[in-house]
This record gives sequence, C-alpha cells and structure tokens, in this order.
Amino acid sequence: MIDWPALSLSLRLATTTTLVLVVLAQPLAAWLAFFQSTATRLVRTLIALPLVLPPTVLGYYMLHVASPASMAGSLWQSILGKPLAFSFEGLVLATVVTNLPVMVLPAAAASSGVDRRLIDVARTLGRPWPVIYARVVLPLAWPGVLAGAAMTFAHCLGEFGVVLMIGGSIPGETRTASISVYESVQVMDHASAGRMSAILLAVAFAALLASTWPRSRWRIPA
Amino acid sequence: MSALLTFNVELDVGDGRRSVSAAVDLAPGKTLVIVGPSAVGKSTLIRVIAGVARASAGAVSFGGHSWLDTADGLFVPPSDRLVGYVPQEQAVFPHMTVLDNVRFGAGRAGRDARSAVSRAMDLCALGAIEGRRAVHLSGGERQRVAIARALASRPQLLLLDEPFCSLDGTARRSLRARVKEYCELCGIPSVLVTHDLEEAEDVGDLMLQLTVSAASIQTTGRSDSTVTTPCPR
Repeated sequence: MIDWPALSLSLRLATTTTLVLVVLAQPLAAWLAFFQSTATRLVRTLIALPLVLPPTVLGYYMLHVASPASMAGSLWQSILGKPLAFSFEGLVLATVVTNLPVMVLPAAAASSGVDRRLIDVARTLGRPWPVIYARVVLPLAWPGVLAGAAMTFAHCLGEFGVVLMIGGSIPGETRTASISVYESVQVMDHASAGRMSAILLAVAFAALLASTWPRSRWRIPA
Repeated sequence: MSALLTFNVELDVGDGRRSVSAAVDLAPGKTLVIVGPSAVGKSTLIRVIAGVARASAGAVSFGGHSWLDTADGLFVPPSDRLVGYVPQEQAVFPHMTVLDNVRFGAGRAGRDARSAVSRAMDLCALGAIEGRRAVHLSGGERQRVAIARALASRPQLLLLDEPFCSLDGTARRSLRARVKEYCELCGIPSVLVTHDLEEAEDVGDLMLQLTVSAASIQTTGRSDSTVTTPCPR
C-alpha cells in the first residue's frame, strides 16, 4: 500500500520550499556572484554548511530555533497561535535552510558566468543592481537557476534527517515520504517501502533530467 | 563650458604596473584620443575612467567631481558617473531586441528618453533592424547598437574603446563622422581609444600617446595649442 498522505505532504513540502528558495536565492546569488569580500566568503561558507553538516545536527539546531522556548519560536506561537516545531511550516523552515546551498550555489555560479562586460556596461548606464539583475543577469543565467530549482525539488523530496528532527512523524502532518519508507522497513513492510522508494526515485530522476535540459539561446558566437 | 578630466593612476597591465597621469581640458564636443602600442594600458585606462576597473592607486576626476581617490578611499560607482561607455567588444544584451538595448541605455534620460532613443537609433541607422534580437546581429550591427545605447544615456562624457574596429572602411568612416557630429552638436566631450592613427587624426582634438615609459598629451591638427604632460613612472 502506498502512503498517499506522506507522498502528498512531501510533494507539497518540496514545491513550497522550491518556490520560497527561487525567490529568496536570487538576491543572495547576485550578491555572492558580483561582490567579493570577507562578508561574501563568510556567507558563502555558512550557506554551504548544510552540505557537510550531519542532518541530525542541523535538525537539532533547527529544533532549538523552532522551539517555543526560543525567541523565534515564541514569536511565531504568539502571532499564529500554534508551535513552529512539529508543524508543516517548521518543516518548510528546515528544508529551506537545508536546501539553501542546493539553490543558491548553482544560481550564483550561473550569474557569475554571465559576460562581465555586459554588467559593466549596464552599470555605466545608471541602472541599479536589482534592475541589472532582473533584466540582464537573470534572462541569461536562468538555466542555472532552473537547474538549482530542480535539484532543490528533488533533494527536498528525499529529505529525512532534518524533517524527522523538527517534525517528528505525525501522520498527515509531518510524516514525509522518506520517513514513511523508513517506518515501513522498520515494520518489515518491504512492499510498501519498495513502492514508495520507486516513486521517489522516478520523481527525483525526472527532476534532475529536466534540470539538464535548459540551454541559453542568447550566447553570442565568439 | 569645458570640463577638466584629470587622472593620475597606477594601472595593472599585462607586464606589470604602469603610471599614467594627465590633465585634459575637454571643451564640449571635443575628443581626446588615446593611442599607443598594444597592451600599454589604453583600455585599462578608459575602464578606470568609466569606473568598471579599479586602479591600484591614484585619482580620477571630471568636471570638478572626484570619481576616484584611493588615498581617501573614494570610489564613485560607474552608475553615478554619468558616462556613456562603449567597450572594445560588442557588449550588447543578446536577449534583448535592438530597440530594447537602446532603451535600456535611456534610463536616466528621464522625460527625454523617447527622443534620446529615437535620435540614437537614427544616428546609428538602426531603424530597419530595431525588432531583431541582438544575438542575431552581425559584429558591425552589434557595435552600432552599443554606440546608440551609450548615446541614448545622454552622457556627460562619452568613453569609446575602439568602437569602430568591427566595421568595414566606409561604414566606419561614416559612423565615426556621425558620432563626432552628434557629440559636437550635443556638446558631449568624449575619449576615444584607438590603434588607428588615421582615425585618431580624423576625430581627435587632443591626443594622449601612451608609451611604456610615459604618457604625453599633444594636439592633433584640429587644435591650435599644444599641451604636453610628462608622466612620472
């Protein structure tokens, strides 16, 4: 049997996280791509941390941030009347942080691949950075941004450690597809685990394949 | 009223660091041409004036406004220098149409943007190809777009880095004559980097000769006085 609520939750979580990151990542990517300073090095390192940090460690810290005892957690609870930890919103926060490098670093690499001379000219024309990014950089760097979004979606779909730490495994609320696979194996239900794994494998493969497709049509031949 | 362009900068060029220093009184519509052998730092100098490259040390000012002074940590970003910059390579926005490229340049022309675009398009004879994407243009067409875009920005100083090099003989002479005429008409002073001495003589009012050891300024046949500025190394 397929755990449809868990699969649906994972798809909703991956879609929400990807949309949030597509918006959030652009100014960060532009800043990392076009400004070199100690601050950018520091922020780049911080953003990349989830790539090397054990998910349980990241989840542990996220749980502290989301807990009603923390400033952020208590603020959230006082505004929305429900705790951030063990909620869908808590899962989104955790997966956004975890997937920051998956979205931001390819977008920054794609932005820094845009011909620097175009940006130099745009700057002399008196256009502010947000306009230059939106009208010059993004239309040329979008394949990299899209690849980052596809990888974020695929990565988020299989998120396990962080979501288990901050969300637990509440059926229909925080039990994601990957947690469902783990729990099926725990109770020796290999048929369910196999079906869910096959679905996740197929979706992840399709997302990654889609990320290899886009090519910029706007490259001027040398 | 003429504007004084001064620079005293240390440039990082291929074979090391080079000092270039000059003070040039640029009357409206007049052109300073910068000539010199390859890799002497001509393009680097014009990029430093535009603000898109940093000098290792030194100062740049134009019209009484200081744009760079490394001693004071002053750096005015290129967006605030009100220059029109045409780089050596055909740096057009490939995903935009010809018209959108030129319109992008007219952002600070304000209410005059439409007429600035129209004038620049006419000057560079771009009307027939205004709807074409820049990626599909020939090298010469792209360079005309880059020039039109810089002119549409209504610059206080036009900086041209070998802008005519991708055009053939007749088109080259015709466009440079029209750009010169436009600058004279609108009172825009300009700086032109070129390796072509005929071009330098043709459009230059003042000439800055960059050599490995020194930079000197002299007039071309278009002016009466001679100015020479030795360059300390």
